[in-house]
Amino acid sequence: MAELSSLSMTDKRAALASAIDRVADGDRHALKVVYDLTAAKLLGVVMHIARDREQAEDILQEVFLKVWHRAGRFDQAQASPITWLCAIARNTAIDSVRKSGRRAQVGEDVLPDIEDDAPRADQMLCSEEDSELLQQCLERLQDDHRRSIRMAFFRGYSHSELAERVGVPLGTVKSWIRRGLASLKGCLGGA
Amino acid sequence: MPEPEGPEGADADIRAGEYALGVLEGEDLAVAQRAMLADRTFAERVRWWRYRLNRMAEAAGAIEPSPEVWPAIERRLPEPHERDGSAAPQPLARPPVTGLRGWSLAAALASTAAAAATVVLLFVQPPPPRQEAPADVASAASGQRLVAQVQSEDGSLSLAGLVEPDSRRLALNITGFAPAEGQAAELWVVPEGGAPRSLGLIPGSGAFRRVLTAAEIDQLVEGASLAVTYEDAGSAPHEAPSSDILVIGALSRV
Repeated sequence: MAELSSLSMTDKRAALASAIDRVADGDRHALKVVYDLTAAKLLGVVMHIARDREQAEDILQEVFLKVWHRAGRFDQAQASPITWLCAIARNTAIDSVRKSGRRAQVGEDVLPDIEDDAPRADQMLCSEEDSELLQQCLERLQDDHRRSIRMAFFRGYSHSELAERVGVPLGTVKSWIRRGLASLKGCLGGA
Repeated sequence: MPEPEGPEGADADIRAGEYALGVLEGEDLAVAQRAMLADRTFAERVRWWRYRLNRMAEAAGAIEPSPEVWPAIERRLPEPHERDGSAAPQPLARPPVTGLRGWSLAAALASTAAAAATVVLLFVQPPPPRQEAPADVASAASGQRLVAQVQSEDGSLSLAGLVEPDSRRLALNITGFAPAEGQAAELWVVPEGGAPRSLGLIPGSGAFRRVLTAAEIDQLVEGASLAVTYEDAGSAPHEAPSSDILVIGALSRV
């Protein structure tokens, strides 16, 4: 663990990629390496969605079991390892929250706490250029557009759920998201 | 995507973004799910968005998990095989890469047409005819039966399906599917112009038969397609496929 945390960003990424390869071959120690490198980041992703520590840690278990079973199908040419892991974490959390029906009971203070805690560079396993570019592009969006896109992403809300949470008409939310995505597309270069 | 973006192109692109973001619901969602299966350009647009939007997760802060999380994960891993060198763990074998990853409906349809005749032979020979059997030939002749026959481009995965609306029976002959542990092959019906609906889990290989519900019969009509994906086994049936379509092909009358 101490060794891992002293690695440079590039080395961490390489260590992660090779550990996932070994997980694909059934290596449990490699899964622990993946865990040590990413569990805190992934719990952060899950907590955004589940927001209950205990439930989030249960979900984190599911995430790593999925990683164990799916590593063989991960194609490093298609996505970076951390992006792949974050996607699994997010989808597992959204599924779990939907299944437990808990989301319906969560009182949502209007557009709270997802606001732009700018990621610290040393926490970003994939500090590739396009990741930074996305952050910059998001920051340029109108507040309403950015917040609704973030809420949809992190909480897994649909159009009508967003409208309900935020307390604005459905058409307004749809328009925010459409315009936000259009601006993002333009900013990201669309290629 | 460098194509000239007329209003329609731009619109489809934003729709792909909405789908990738997960905000669509109802009819809009159904249309987008269908497009994911049938429209390669749309699917590529969705992938473009997913790749970028997923970077947003980087903005989530890091939270150190409690020390008991890892031991709990470790307890839930499958028992390691004996390390005698020959028994490498199975569940993680890379699945065969199929030529249908791009979800080429056209190609699947072409092979369906070519192979339909074979399937009839496979399935229309029923177990020794009982009383109801006279319907056998008659219903085939009256076009009541539907078949779908598809395989992956490399031939490693195949699915032959027969639907008998009268007797409400579904019969499948399945070859080559090897889901990872914890996953299973899930069968979908994809109505023409509609969203995929789960028909439940199926075995990875062998013959499989079951009775269909009235609602399922309504979906299983000429022009609708059968498709298979690998999904989480514990939570099936699912509302929508979450992974690439492995094979897909349309039902046609025989």
